[in-house]
Amino acid sequence: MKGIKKIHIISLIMIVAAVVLLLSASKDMSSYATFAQAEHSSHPVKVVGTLSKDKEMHYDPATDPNYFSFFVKDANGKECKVILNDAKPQDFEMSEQIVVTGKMEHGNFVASDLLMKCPSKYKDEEISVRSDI
Amino acid sequence: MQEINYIGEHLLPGRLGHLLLIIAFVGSILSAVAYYLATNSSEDSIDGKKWKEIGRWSFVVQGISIFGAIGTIFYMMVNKYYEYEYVWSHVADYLPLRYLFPAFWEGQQGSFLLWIFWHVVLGFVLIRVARRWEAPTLSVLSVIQAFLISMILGIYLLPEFRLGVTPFSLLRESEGMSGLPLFTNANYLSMIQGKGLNPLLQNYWMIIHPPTLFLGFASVTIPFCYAMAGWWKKDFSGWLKPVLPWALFSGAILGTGIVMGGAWAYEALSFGGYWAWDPVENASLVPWLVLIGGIHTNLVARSTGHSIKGTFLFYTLAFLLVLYSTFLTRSGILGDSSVHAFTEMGLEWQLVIFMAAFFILPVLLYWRTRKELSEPEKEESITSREFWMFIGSLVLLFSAGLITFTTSLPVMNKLIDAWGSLIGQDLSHWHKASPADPISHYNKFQIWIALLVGILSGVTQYLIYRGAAWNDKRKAFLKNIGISFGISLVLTFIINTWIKTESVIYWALLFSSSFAIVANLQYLTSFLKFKMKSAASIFSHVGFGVMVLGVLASGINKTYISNNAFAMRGIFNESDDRLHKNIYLVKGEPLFMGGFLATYEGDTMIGHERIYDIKFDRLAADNKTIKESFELNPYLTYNAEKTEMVNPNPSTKRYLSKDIFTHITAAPSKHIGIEAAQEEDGNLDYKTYDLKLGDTIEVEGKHFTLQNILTNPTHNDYVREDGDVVFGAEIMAWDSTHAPEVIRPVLAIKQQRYIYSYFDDYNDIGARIRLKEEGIHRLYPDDQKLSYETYQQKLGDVFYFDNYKITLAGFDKDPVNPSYTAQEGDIAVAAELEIESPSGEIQVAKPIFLIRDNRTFMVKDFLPKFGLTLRFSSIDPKTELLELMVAKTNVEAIDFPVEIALGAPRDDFIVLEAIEFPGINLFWIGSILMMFGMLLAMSVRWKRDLRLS
Repeated sequence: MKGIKKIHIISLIMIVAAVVLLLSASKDMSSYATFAQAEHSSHPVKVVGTLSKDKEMHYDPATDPNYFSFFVKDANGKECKVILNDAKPQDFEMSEQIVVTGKMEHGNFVASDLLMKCPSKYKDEEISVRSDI
Repeated sequence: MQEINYIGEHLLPGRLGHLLLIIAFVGSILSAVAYYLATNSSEDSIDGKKWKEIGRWSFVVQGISIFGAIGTIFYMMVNKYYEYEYVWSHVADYLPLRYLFPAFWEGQQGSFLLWIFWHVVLGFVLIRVARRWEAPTLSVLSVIQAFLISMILGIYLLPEFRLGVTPFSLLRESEGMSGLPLFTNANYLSMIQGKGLNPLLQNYWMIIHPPTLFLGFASVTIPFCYAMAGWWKKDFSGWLKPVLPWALFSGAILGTGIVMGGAWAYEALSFGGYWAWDPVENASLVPWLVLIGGIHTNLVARSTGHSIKGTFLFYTLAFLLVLYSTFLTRSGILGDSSVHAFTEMGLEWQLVIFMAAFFILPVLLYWRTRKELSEPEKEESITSREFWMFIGSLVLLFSAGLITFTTSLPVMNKLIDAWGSLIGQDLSHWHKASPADPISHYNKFQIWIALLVGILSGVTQYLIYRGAAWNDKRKAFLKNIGISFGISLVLTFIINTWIKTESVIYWALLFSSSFAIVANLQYLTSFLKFKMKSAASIFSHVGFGVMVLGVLASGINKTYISNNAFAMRGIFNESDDRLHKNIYLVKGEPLFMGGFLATYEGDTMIGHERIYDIKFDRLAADNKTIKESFELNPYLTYNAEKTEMVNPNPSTKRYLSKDIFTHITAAPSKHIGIEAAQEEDGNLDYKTYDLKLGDTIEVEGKHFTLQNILTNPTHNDYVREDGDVVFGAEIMAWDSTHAPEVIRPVLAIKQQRYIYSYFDDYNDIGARIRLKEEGIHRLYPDDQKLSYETYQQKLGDVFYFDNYKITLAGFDKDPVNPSYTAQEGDIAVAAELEIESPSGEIQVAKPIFLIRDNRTFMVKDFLPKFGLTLRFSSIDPKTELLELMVAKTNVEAIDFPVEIALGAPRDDFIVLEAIEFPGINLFWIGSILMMFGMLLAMSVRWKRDLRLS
């Protein structure tokens, strides 16, 4: 056929492959959820919430340096215990917002990844007045 | 409101800098217009020459103004003019000079300026070398400059519409600051200190990585300018030759910049790796991939006339993707999905208009000439080199598309919201979050890309442009490919005994990268006969293969060696399949991990860094013989006041075949910062006990004896300063299972106001002891309450006071006493008094007699154990008689209040993460080879072009 080149066919194949790959990849994409929704999800989800500062935060490296647990309150106000199998992140207490990725297991949210938003020590709109004056 | 005359502000540099930016902005517009007119008039006409001259001068003025503006910012930073917000935000008094560069490009405006700076430099080179392409390329470049300068212009076009954010704004006038009460003080400047540079950026990579990366970004512009120029002048093939060295240069520099970013992440950040598919990292990788695709289509177009449109498309896309990545990282849209992104600065719309303008320009140009360009009718043959090179470029484009899709999720969410608000529905349930596991998500696709690229880069070398004389060459081709194939297969099996891939796809990738290496090397030896001038592509393609091998080796076999198999056994049940990344090390207690005996030996504070000494002994198979010993020193960096830790820094042991990467993931609270330490201490249950010297008390089965009171105690954290009042205690502690251990708390009063209580390091009894302030008042007697007895004595005399035998043993002309600081012109002498107690114990006291400014002073000495205060009140030079005064306090009768808490947490441990990266050097070597190949190709072509012209 005139006008249709091999290159066009190959391009077409690539586009189809891209669509297929991206469709299959949409499984990788997590979705935002609340703890209540996470209960019913078999895929890992992301929960956005805040650290419950009044609840216990547990990290005792002497017994287990790979176990850190804390409580997060999600957008609906539901609190849930979150377990992270890693060391406690630096400046964790200061976090304003926490995004945990993981699954519900036996009523606890087991996180594979944790992202926190901190009021950066270097970017806060505060003027430090020299201490010697 | 009354105008305040602020003291000490330097307003001139700011005004000058702002003026220079405005001149540069106007200059770039003028240059764009003049070059536009020059392009549209004929080459040799008087008008054309005149406009070209004007364009050239405008561009030069613009460039010099930019250099001036940058110089002004550096001048302000060196002189610490904190009245300027940019200086205040990025510089601090303590910041070493070498970090002024990272401080300059830490902020948005600085990094824009860096980009603009490189455009100026590249523009100057273009003026010198571009000849007939000068006018059109510089016209386009000048428009881009105008857009970029507008980002940092900071002028109000309308009362509500500000164009850009200037780096020369004053702190007191900046947003969110202007209302602060501080600025009602005319002398506010003397009270403020800069915020300083983010410690993560205080790293030498931050001095060289950003300029390289921005030179990379800036250089992507030049092929774009050439593409526009080619279509503008309707000279569709003429630009293909001069653009090629620029594209190769850009590919090499941008690639180097990206790899340097990886090196920085690996050395300064502690996520343990060089690439994390972070959106900002992707944003610089994607234009590079497309640019590399463009270089290949460019080569095809030069040799065959095919793919001219493709080259136009690739170079245009590469530039647009640079703009897009600028938009992603600077508009704040990535927000919580990246650690690198800048914070919002209100430039979103300006950036969107910038992108839109340079999207429309190539579309218009293309549309205008759509009928005039004809590529060869005959299709590329499937046995030709150009066919497969084009396929390779498409594969790279494909890869870029997939990465961009995932990186753009936040943008899509925004678009969904915009659509939702348009149709009046809440569509937020359509939102998608970034992948839960980004690394495996991206790797899943990119593995196929790397695999295809590896095979293509090997096979295509053996093909010939236009598939010339295929029937004759077919046999040789098949033979060569067959040999390469066979050798690669063997090589793959050999390498796999080391890398041990377990999945088919990894195995295939291993084969493909081996094939890229073998086929290219074979081509070099059999066809090119080691002619290095033609070997540039060999370097790049072999480099690619080596790099992929490095990625495979370090990625698949990355192992956490901080994993104590013995300690874990039995504690956790069998089903425990967690990745044990961290290990707990107690000071001085060796622990077995991953073939090593690791010992945390101690730590030292040097400057703003606490450096840990961790000894690694590699054990032989018998777990006894030490085969090798080395020390690693991960460290923590502290803030300016040294009160809070800001970030942990890794330390890496490098071998040829692997790296051992360590960093500290948790440390005792006293190493984390004052706040954390205080909080931890506040959680302990302290009880107060009154102890006299020699008293023993029992608390919950643990015994404590106050053995000694010290007036000159030492403690790791205590630094003696003039005027300190300080005392310490030695308390012996033991219980039924622990042998006696001495605990040494210290208490100091600084500047007569601030009380510092220092408890001793952790002890096995788990007791933490603090001294109380009352103790210090009870210990140091009020001079007025003491009744002194006076003695006249000569050297060598012996006298008695309250059964203490006191001998005037000598003099000390260079006396040392905690409450005495020597000054210029002092005449000071101490009497050395040897004192023997009734029980036979001997101590030496050194009271000081001092003449300062013609007045006499006494510095008394106090022996707490004996309770004696001694003064040296005068000396008669004629008779050599000293007047000494002695008084007694009954120290034994003093009750020292002591606070004891049991169950104190350990403070002599660290939590360590140690990762072994085998073959990581292959990654670095491969990357360097790849970039070197491009630079070589550039210089070869450049020289050839110069010779020909």
